[in-house]
Amino acid sequence: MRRYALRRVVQIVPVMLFIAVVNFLLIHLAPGDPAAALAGEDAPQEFIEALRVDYGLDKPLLQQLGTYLGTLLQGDLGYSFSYRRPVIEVIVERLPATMLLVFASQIPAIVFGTLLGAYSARHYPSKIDNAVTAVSLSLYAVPIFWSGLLLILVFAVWLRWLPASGMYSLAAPSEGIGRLFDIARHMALPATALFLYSLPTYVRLTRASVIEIMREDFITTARAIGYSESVVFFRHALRNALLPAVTVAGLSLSFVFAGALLTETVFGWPGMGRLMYEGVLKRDYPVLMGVFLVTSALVLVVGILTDLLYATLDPRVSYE
Amino acid sequence: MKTTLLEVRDLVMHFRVGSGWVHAVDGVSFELRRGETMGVVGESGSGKTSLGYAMLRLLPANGRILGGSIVFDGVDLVPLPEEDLRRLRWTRFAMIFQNAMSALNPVFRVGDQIMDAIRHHTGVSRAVARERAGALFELVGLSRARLRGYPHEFSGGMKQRAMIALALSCKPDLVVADEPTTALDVVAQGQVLRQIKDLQRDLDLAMIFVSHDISVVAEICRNVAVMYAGEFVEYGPTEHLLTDPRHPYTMALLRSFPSVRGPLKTLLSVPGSPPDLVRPPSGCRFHPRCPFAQAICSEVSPPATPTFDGGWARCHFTEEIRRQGSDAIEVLDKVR
Amino acid sequence: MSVPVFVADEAAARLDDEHVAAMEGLRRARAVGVRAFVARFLAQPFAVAGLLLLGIVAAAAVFAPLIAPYDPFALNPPLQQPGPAHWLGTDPLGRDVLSQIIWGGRVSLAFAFGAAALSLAVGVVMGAIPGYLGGVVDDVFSRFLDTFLVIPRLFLIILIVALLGSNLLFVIAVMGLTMWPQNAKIMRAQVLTIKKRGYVQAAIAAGVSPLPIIFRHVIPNGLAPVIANSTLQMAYAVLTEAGLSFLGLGDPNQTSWGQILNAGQSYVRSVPWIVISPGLAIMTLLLGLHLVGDGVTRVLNPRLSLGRE
Repeated sequence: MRRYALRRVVQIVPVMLFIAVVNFLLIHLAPGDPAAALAGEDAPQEFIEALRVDYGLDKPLLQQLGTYLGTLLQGDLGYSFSYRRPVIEVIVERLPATMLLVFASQIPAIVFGTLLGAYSARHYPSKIDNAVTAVSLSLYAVPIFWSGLLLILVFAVWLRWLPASGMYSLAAPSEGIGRLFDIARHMALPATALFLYSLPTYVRLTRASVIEIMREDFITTARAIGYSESVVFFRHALRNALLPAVTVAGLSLSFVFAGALLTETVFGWPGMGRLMYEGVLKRDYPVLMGVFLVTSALVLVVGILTDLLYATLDPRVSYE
Repeated sequence: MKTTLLEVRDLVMHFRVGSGWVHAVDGVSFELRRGETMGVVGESGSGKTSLGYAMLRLLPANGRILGGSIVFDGVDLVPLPEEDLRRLRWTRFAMIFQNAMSALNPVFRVGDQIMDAIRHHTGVSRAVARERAGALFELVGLSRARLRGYPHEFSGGMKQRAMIALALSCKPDLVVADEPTTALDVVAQGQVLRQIKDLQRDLDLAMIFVSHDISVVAEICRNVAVMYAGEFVEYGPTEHLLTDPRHPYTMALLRSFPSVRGPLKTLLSVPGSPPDLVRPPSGCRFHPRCPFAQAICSEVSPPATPTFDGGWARCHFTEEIRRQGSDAIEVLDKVR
Repeated sequence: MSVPVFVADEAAARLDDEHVAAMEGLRRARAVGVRAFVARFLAQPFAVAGLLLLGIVAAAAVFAPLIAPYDPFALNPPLQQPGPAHWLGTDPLGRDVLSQIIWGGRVSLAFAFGAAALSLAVGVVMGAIPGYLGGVVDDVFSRFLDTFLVIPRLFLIILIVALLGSNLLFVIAVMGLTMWPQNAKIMRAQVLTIKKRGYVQAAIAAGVSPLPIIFRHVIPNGLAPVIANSTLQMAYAVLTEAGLSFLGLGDPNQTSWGQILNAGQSYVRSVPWIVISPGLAIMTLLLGLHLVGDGVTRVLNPRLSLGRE
């Protein structure tokens, strides 16, 4: 198990290298001076010149790549001129808000999505199942930034129940239960948007895999043994059917981050996605590249954790 | 004479498919006594597998029993409530599935699957169940240590043995075996087959053995039923049926397997293909493929004509076929 | 009594395992071809509904100059509520929202077809050739595909567009060139099974060189699931374009649904229709694509539809 985990960790290296090279190439493909691109839009001339020296931008391309990778390896993602701080600091500061939003939306999405999908599959084929399919296909068709705006319109503008944006109120208590409650109120709408965005994925996946599993021979065996339908379903079918859900939950993280980016933009949620949006507005390229790198790394790490979880759930996976 | 264990009368089971109903089992009747063995042979699509499942009321979602009765030890299974049926399952009748590869749940240990079945029906403690599962494993020639293994760690032959152990775990009176050796290689086939034969004799099990391979059935079963297009076309004691078939389809089926001791003949399958069971042929269902077919065959469904020892054949010309004997077989060989 | 030896007719016996499926398969095998595909597709109400939704969007886009009441760039009084002059109101610059939506369909459809077609073409070729050749080439290439597939795509696209520009054709190309690895993976899996089939082996034995075999035999026979995936990629392209425009990364010389949302989002309180209507347009197109895609998948993968009454 440990060796397997270690090998999976080692596999990250070429992927991260690839992503870093993509970043590097993009800087050089950008029109104009690579040093200016690396500095971001508001940077003064002295700063651009300093970068040119630091990154050796007057040296041959391959040597530049080496220097760039070297700085990345030291955890240096560059300096953001619009924030006047190192990029890594800005990102680390924004990360918890994004993770909070992701957990608050994904855990309910996985739980409800799986249950709804399993329920639908258990009633396959039927009107109920068709209705679930229709609803989940419709949800697929809703752009998350639009559902976000509609949630604001209904719950913040018309009903005035919840705040439309931000993470805290100025007037709210700065600590204790009051503060948590304040954050929860702010999170309700963005988390709902992200929940609705991820829900159909789990519904469709679980439904398809339960339907598939219910046709397996071992389900017939379980019925022939005389187990009740609910034992057949919950004990024998569901565990097998949840295996693909685990994989997808891990694989879909990059899709969830994409949703979070748009949600945070709509709701002004101070996370990494909102940072990406601000980076776009300010043409702060070091921030854009930094967020891209960090997101990729997170996706990879979660991918490994998913594999390890899968391996403990499915005895057929060998660690070798 | 032993008492009757299973009596099937005029069983009709159809599948709903997009375009209509598949007449998978259409008016099958037979009787099985305790400790007796019966084989059901037929081509792919003859409905023999469907019959095996229907007998134990293991219907797929789109299958319906439309008529007939399945009286097991005095109880008709057809109208029986689901709950009562579940109590009979595995304790009175069990099944060995064709594909042991997929008939065992991949995420549970094999031993646990057997113990679960035992505990589900008897409520004994884990320790007692484990002891019984271990004894069963030894009975089928697997070591006790294997109880902790997962299905994917077993070879094909071992999985089938484990499946047999599972089927015997609640001491059933009747076991339906659906092509239990087909998915195995030739060596494992022989071993598993011998195992089944010995267990059947030692435990005095009644057994219905479904196979497309008449030679496998011949090794195990006292009586054989030949199934074609959802119907039994011939039934009788194995030795008679194999040496002196009275239905042209049985003959054709016999010719499709080589004989070790008989003269070397070209091995060929039955000519033509099985009929579409959504719209079965009129009259005798074999008539479109039968080299002896006359006008009457496409119009009148032939009655069961007695042959030997309670056997019968559903053909209008059983007598002629008997008189012609080997000539009939030559006719068959020529049409190919 | 003679004891015959075993003749294991494995294939036949497996079929018997579920002979209903076998009979269905037989019927399907007989009914190959485009006409049967269309007939089975049209037999599904959901799929037909999807086609209808796509038809509405496509008709509006094609006939935009005839239908649109205003030039989408013409400036009228800003932020008007829906009324007889402007059915869906005007945006903060005074552009007619209805006309923008009608014209905006062109951009969405250009993305749907352009990006998906590029992804299809590249993916099919890049999946088929290494998959067919096998060996080290295939190993290295599959690793590359896996690597590419884990990269957070939207972040990469945003980065590229922010650095290199938001010209319509360029962004379509970027999207196509970031989506193809998925198609390549599906195609490769197809090739691995097709390669073993009789007609391919026969062509190899006859001395036909790899490229003609790949293009004449392998690709046409493996295309179906890639095409089914393409409908999903079309939806992805539409959604991503809308997202980019919403973030302000749309082509400033075009009018698109995401841009209407971007311009109108601050006015959700006063003129909600600016926000509601372009979203409905996106939804119509996406729902159409998903329903059609679902219908295609059901026809191609009968296991999902078998038993459905």
